[in-house]
Amino acid sequence: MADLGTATITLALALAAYGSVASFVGANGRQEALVVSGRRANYMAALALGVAVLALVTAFLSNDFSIRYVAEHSNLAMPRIYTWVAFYAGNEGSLLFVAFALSGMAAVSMAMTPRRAGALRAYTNGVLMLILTFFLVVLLVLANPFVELAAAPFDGIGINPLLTHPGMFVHPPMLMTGLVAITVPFALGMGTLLSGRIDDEWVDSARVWGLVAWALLGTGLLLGAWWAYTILGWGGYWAWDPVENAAFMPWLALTAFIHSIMVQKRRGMFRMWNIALINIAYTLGAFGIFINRGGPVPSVHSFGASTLGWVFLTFLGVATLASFGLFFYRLAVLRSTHALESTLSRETAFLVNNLLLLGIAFATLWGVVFPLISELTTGRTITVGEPFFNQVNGPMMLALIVLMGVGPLLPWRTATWATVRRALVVPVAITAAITAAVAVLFEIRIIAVLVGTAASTLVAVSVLREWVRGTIARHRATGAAYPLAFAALIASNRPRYGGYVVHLAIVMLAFGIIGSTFYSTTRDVFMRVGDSTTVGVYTVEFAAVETTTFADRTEREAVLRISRDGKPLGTMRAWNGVYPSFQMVSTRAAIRSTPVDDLYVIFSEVQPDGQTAAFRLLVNPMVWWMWVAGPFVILGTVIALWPARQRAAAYVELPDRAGAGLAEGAS
Amino acid sequence: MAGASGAGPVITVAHVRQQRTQARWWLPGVLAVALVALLTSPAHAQVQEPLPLELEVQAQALYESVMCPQCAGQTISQSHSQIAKAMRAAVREGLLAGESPEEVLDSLVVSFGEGVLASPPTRGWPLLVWLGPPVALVLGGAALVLAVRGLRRGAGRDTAPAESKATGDLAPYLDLVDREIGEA
Repeated sequence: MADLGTATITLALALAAYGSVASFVGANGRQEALVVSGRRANYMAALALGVAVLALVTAFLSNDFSIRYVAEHSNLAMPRIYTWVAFYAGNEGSLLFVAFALSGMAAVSMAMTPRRAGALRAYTNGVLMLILTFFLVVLLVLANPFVELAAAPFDGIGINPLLTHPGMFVHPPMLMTGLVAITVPFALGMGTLLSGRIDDEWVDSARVWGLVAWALLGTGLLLGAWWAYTILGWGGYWAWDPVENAAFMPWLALTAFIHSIMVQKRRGMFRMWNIALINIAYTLGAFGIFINRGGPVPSVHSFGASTLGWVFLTFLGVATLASFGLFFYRLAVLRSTHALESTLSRETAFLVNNLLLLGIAFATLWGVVFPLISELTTGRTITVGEPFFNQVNGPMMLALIVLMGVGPLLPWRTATWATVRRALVVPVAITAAITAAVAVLFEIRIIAVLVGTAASTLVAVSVLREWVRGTIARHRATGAAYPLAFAALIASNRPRYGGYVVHLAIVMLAFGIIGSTFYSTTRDVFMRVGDSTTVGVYTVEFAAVETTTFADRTEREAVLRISRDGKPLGTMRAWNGVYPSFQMVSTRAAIRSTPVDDLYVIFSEVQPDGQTAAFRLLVNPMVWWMWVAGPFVILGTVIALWPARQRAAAYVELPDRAGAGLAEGAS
Repeated sequence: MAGASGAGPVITVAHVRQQRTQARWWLPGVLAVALVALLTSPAHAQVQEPLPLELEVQAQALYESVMCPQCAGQTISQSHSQIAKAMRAAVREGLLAGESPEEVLDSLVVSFGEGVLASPPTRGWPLLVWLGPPVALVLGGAALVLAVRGLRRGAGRDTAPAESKATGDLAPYLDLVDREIGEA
C-alpha cells in the first residue's frame, strides 16, 4: 500500500505539472491539442489521487502499522467507522485530503466550464494545475503519509479522543474543502486576467464555485460551532480562536464576492472589484491554511499543526504577489461597461455590503496579527481575544443586518427617495410594531439587542412580504394552488430567492447569537449526590453518578433531575470521560434544547470521594435557532445554484429591444 | 519573519525571543506557587460554596476576560486545565474578599503579565488594536464614496460597444423580471 500511495502521488504530481505547462504554453501559442492534453492531465491527476486516497484508507482498514501515519493515528481498538476521521487527523493525511479535494474540484470545474470559454478555460486549468503542483510537492517531499516505519509496531497509538464526535466527520473536511474550493473561482479570475479577455465569461462559473466554497466554509464553521458547543464544554460556540478566524475571514470575503458578482452578472459592473475581491478571498484562504498548518499563533486547533509554516507562508506570499501583480498589470482593460446611474440603487447597497464585510474581515485579521506585530516590534505580549472581536465586529454585523433588510428593497440602477420611501414604509412600520411589542414583553433594555431585533425583523418582514405578495399574485394570475404558486415564485428567480432563504437563516443565527450573548446565565457549583441548585428558571438535582471503567478510559455519567416551578421536566445525563494515556478529560454536556432556551450542564470533574462533583450550569437563550439555521443555509444555496431554465420569460411582456436581446442571449 | 530585512530587526527578534523565554521561565514558578497553594489546602476546601448571584455574574465575566496562559488561545472560562482552575479559584477568592473586578484583574496582571488580559488595554501602544478597524472602515468608506463618484461621472459616456454578451443584453429583460416579481 505504501508503495502504491507514493507512486500515485508522484504520478499525480507529474500530471499536474505537465497539465500546468501544457495549458499555459498551449493557450499562449494557440495549440489546441496541447490545451486539450493539459485538461486531460487534470482529470488523470484527480484519478491518481483518488487511488492514493484509497491506498491510505485500505492501510487504515487493514491495520497496516508499518505505515507511520496509520500507526500514529489509529489502533486495533479503534472502531472502523473512525477511519474516516483518522484519515485527516494528522498533518500528512489532511494534506492528502486537501490535495484530493482540490484536484477533484479542479477536474469537475473544468469539465463543467463551457467549451466556448476557450482561452479562459485553458489559462484557468493552468492556474489550477500550478496550485495543485505546489500541494503535491509539499505532500511528496515534506509530508508524505505513506512513509514506512523500520519495524511495524504491534498496535498503533490511537485516535485523539476529542475527534471522536459525529461533528468531526463533517466539520474538518468541509472547512478544508471550503478553503481549497476558493481556488476555483480564484483560478477563473486569474484565467480571465491571463487571457486578457475583458468579457464576463468567467462570471457564471465563478459565481457557482464561489457559492460552493461559501456554503462549504459556512456550514463547516457552523458545524465547528456546534461541535464546540456540544463537546468542548464551556457553554459557548465561538471563541474567535485564530483558526476559527482564519476560516471566517475568507468566508466574509466570499460573502462579499457572491453578492458583488451578481452586479457583474446583471449589470456588467464591478469587473475590477470582483477580481480584487476573489483575490482577497483567496489570499485570506491561503492565510487560513498557513495559520492552520503550523502558523505562529497559539490555537486550540493544534491537532494538525506541523512545522510546515514557512512553506505555506511562502505560498501565501507568492500567491498574494502574483495575483495582485497580475491584477494591477491588467487593470486598464477591466473597466465596467456600465456607469452607475444613481447613488441610491441596489448597486450601491452591494458596495456598502462589501465595505462592511471587508471591514469585519480586516478587524478580524488585525486582531489575529496584532499580537505578532506587538511582540516583534515592541516585545510586549498582548492578547487580542473575544471581548475585542465582539466589541469591534458586533456593531459592523448589526449594520450588515440592517443593510440586509434595506438592500433588497432598493431597485437596480436607480431609485428616488420617493420610491425608497414607498418600498420601506410598510416593512418598517411592521418591524417597528413587532420590535416595540418584543421590547415591552421581554423588558429589553439593551440598545444593541433592540437594534439587532429590529434589523433582523426587518429582514424577515421584507422577505416574507415579498413572498406572500408574489404568491398571491401568481395564484390570481394562474389559478395555481398557493403552495404551487409559491414554488413557481421561488423557481422564477432562484439566485434571488435562494439568497432570501439564506438571509432568513442569517436572521435565525442572529437571534441565537443575540440571545446567547446578552442573556446567558452561568453558574459554577459543587454538588453532592442528592443536592440541588437553581440556574435561571430551572432547578437541577444531582440524583446519581454512574461509573464505567474501560481499558483506556473511565466514563462517568451524572444523572440530573430537572424541574421548573416545581414541575418535573425529566432527567438529563451529563458525561465525563478521563483518558489517562492522553492525560485528558473529555466532557459531553447534557443539553436540553428548546426554541426558547437551552439548559446546558457540564460535568467538569468528580472529587476523590466519588460522590461530589463540579458542574457548570448554563441557560443559553435561543441557541436552538443557530443549529436550525444550518439546513436553511444549505437549502438556500442549493436553490441559488440550481441551474436556471429560460422558462421564466413566459411571464413577462417584452418590449422589442429586450426581446431581441433575450433571443440573442438564449441562443 | 523580519530577519530578512537587516541587522536591526534581527536584534529585535532576538531581544523578543529572550524576553519571551524569560517570561516563560518565571511563569511556571508563579503557577507552581498557585498550584501548591491549591493542592496543600485541606481536601474539603476544593469543594467551593456557590457564590452569591451578583458575585457569580462578576466572576463569569472575569473568567471570560482572562486568558489561560498555557492553553493556546482559550480563556480560563473555556479551559479545563489545572491552571485555569487555579486562576478561577483566585478570581472567586478575590471577589469573596471584597475586591472589585478591576482589582482582581490587576493582581492577575501582576502575577501573569499583560498577556493574560483577553482584551488589550485602551492606553498606549495597544490602543492601535482598537483604532485599526474604525480607521480602516473610514478609509474604506472614503474609497467607496470616491468610487461611486467615479462610476457616476461615467454615466454620461457612451459605453455601449463594450457591452458584454453574457449579461449586458439581458439587463433590460432581467429588470423587467425583477419588477414583475417583486417591488424592485
